[in-house]
Amino acid sequence: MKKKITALLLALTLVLSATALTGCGGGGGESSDGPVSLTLSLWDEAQLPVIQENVDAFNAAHEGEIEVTIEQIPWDTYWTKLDASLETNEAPDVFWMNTYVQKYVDAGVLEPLDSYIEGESFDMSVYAEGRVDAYNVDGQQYALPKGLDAVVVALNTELFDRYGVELPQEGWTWDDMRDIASQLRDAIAAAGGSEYPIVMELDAQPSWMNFLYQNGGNYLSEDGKTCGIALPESKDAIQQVVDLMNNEQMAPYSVLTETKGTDLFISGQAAIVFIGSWKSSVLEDSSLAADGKVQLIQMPSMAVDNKTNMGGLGYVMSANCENKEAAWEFMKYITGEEAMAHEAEEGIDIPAYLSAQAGYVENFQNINAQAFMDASATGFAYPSNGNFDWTTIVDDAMQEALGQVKTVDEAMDEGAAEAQAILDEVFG
Amino acid sequence: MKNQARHFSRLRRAEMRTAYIFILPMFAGLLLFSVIPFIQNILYSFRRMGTFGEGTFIGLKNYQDLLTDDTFWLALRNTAFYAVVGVPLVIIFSIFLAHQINKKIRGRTIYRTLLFIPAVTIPAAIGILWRWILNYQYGIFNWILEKLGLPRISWLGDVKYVRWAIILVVVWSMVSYYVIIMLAAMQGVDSSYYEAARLDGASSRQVFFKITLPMLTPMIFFSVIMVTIGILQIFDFIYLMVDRQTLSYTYSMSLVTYFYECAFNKSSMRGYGAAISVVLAAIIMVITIIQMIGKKYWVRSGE
Repeated sequence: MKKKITALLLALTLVLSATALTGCGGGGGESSDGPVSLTLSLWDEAQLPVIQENVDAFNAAHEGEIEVTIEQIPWDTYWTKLDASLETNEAPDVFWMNTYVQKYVDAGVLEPLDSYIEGESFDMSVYAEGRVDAYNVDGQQYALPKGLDAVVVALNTELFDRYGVELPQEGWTWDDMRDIASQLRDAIAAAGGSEYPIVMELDAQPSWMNFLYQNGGNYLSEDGKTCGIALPESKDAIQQVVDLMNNEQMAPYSVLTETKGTDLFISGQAAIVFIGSWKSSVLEDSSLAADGKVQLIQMPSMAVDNKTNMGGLGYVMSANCENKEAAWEFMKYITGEEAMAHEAEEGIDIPAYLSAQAGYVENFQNINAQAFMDASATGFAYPSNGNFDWTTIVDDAMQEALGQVKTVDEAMDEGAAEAQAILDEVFG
Repeated sequence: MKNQARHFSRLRRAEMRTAYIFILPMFAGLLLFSVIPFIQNILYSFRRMGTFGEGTFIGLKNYQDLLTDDTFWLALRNTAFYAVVGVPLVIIFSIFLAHQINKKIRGRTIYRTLLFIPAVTIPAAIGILWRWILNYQYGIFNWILEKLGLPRISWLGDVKYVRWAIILVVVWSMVSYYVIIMLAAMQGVDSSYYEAARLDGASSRQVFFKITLPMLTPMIFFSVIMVTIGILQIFDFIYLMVDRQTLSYTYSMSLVTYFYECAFNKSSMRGYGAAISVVLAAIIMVITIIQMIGKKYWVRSGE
C-alpha cells in the first residue's frame, strides 16, 4: 500500500514538473525545429478573449512557423513585472505600451521599428495620425498603434425627464452646463431626490486634463519641458470645477472619492458624466442604457474649445527579442485591418487602423457610439514626456485643489513649482 | 569542527545529515527571500536607483532627504497614530471579548466561531467588504446612521475620517485572532486560583483584575509586540479601501504605503523607498527593544 502511494506521488510529481517545464518554455523560442514561439504581454482581461481569437487566427495562418502565446498580467502589476523582466532579459517579445513609451525608449529596451517600416515600405498612414505620432520618439517609430480613446459626455435622459429639464444640444458651453445643473439641482431638492446633477472621475484623462486645454491652459508645454497647471487659464478651469462642487451642481469630492463617477451614473445617481470610450462596453451593458436612457453628446466648450485628449495603446517589440522578423510579422497582423476589424465588431477598442473603424459603431445597440468617433476626430494626443515623477506631483496638487484642502491658487502654484523642479532637473 | 564531527557515531552523523537536509529548503527559502533581500535593501538605500540597473552610490543622501520630506513625516505621524490608537484597542477588545466567551453563556460555541471568522478571512476580502459597508452612497453603516437620525459620513472620502475608518477595520480584523490567543491563555489559568478566590469571597470583578489579568500578562506582552509590529507595517487595508489617486490616500498614508509609492510607482525613487523601509525596520527594532526592557516591570514571570 505504502509503496503504491509513493509511486503515485512520484508519478504526480513528474507530471507536474513536466507541465511546469513546458509552461516556462514559451519565452525562449530556442527550439531548433519547431515553430518560432513568441510571447505577447497585455494587461486588460476584458480584451483578452477577443485578442486571443486574433492570435489564434494568426497562429493558424502561420502553422508550423510562428506560435504566439499570450501572457495576461493585471494592470496593477503589469509595469512592475515588465520592468523586472526587462532587467533580467526575460521580457516578452511583444507587449502593450501606453504613454510610458518614452521611459522605455530612454532605457533602450524597445526595438526601433523604422528599419522594418522602410524595409518593406510599410504604409503608416493606415493608422490615425495622432496615434502614430504618440509613439514616434525623436523621429523613430517604436510602436504600431492598436486603438484610440476619446472622451464624451453621457446623459441620463430619464433624470432629465423626471425633473423636467431640457437636454443639452451639441455645441453647448460650460455656461449652458451650469444652467442645466442648477435647474436639475433645484428640481432634485424640491422632489426630495438624492441624485447629483454632474459627476466625474477624479483622474486626469476623462476629466481635468481636458478642462485645462479647453480653457486655454495646459498640462505640459508642446516641447515637453514646462508644466502649465499654474497658468491663469489652467487655474480658472480647475476653479470652475471646484465652483460646480460648491454650488452643488456636481457631487462633492468625498463622494467622488468613494464611488467612481461612472458607477454613480450607471446606477442612476447622476444626470451628467464625463466619460471615456474605454467605458463604452460597461455603458452599453448597463440596464440604464438597455432601457434606452443614455444619450452621448460632445463635451461642452470652455473658453477655447471642447477638444478632448486622445490616448491609446500600441504594440512594441522588446530589443532583446530573438525572432524579430517573426515579431514584426505578428505586430503587423495584430494591428492590421482584419484583427482590428474584429476588435471593433466586438466593441473592445476603437481601432487606430482607420478602415477598420466602421465596425465599431454598429456594434453598439444601446448607445450612440458615433459620439466617440466624432470626439476622436478632433482629439489631441495625451500630453506626456515619458517622465512620471512630476505627473504624480501634479495629480496630488489637483486632488488637493478639488478636495479643497488648499485653494486652487495654492495647490497649482505649489504643485507647478515642485513639478517644474523635477522637469528642469530631467530635461533642463 | 572536523575533529568534533568525528566524535559522533556513524549513526548520529547520518541522522544529522538527514536533519540538515530537512532544514535546507526552509533555510534556503529564508536566505533567498528574506536575508539576502534585507541586506540588498539596505545597500539600495544608499543609492539613487532608476528603473533599470543598479543606480549610483549617494551615501546618506536618501536619509538626509527624508528629514525634510513632509510626506515622510505625514506617513510617520499616521503610522504612529495607527499604532497608538490601534494597539490598545486591539488588546482591550480581545481581552474583553475573550473574557465574555470564556463564561458559561448560551451559544458560546457560536460566538467563538463568529469571532474567529475575520481571522481566517483573507485581508483582500475584508478590505473590499468594509469599503462597501462604509460607502457614503450605498453603505449599510451610513444607512444605519441615517435611520438613527444621524448625518451620513463619507468615511473613506472625507480626509477627517479616513484614518479612523482604517483603524476601525484594522482593529476589527486583528481582534479576532487575539481573542483566540487570550481565550487560550485564560483557559490555561489553574482553576485552583479561582476556587481559592471564591472561597475567600472575592467578587467577579476582583477575580478578573487580581487573578485573570495578572495571569494573562505574558500573553498580553507577546500580543502587544505582535500587534505593534503588525500595525506599524500596515499597508493592505489602506491599499484596498482607498483609491490611490485620491486625497484620502495621501491623508491615510502609512510608512509602508509611502514606501510602496516610492519603490514601485516613482521610477527614480527606488533607493529612497529602500531608505524608508530601513527606517521603519529600525523603528520597529527600537520599539521592540524598549518593550523587552519594560517587560520585567509588568509581566508576571514563571509559574
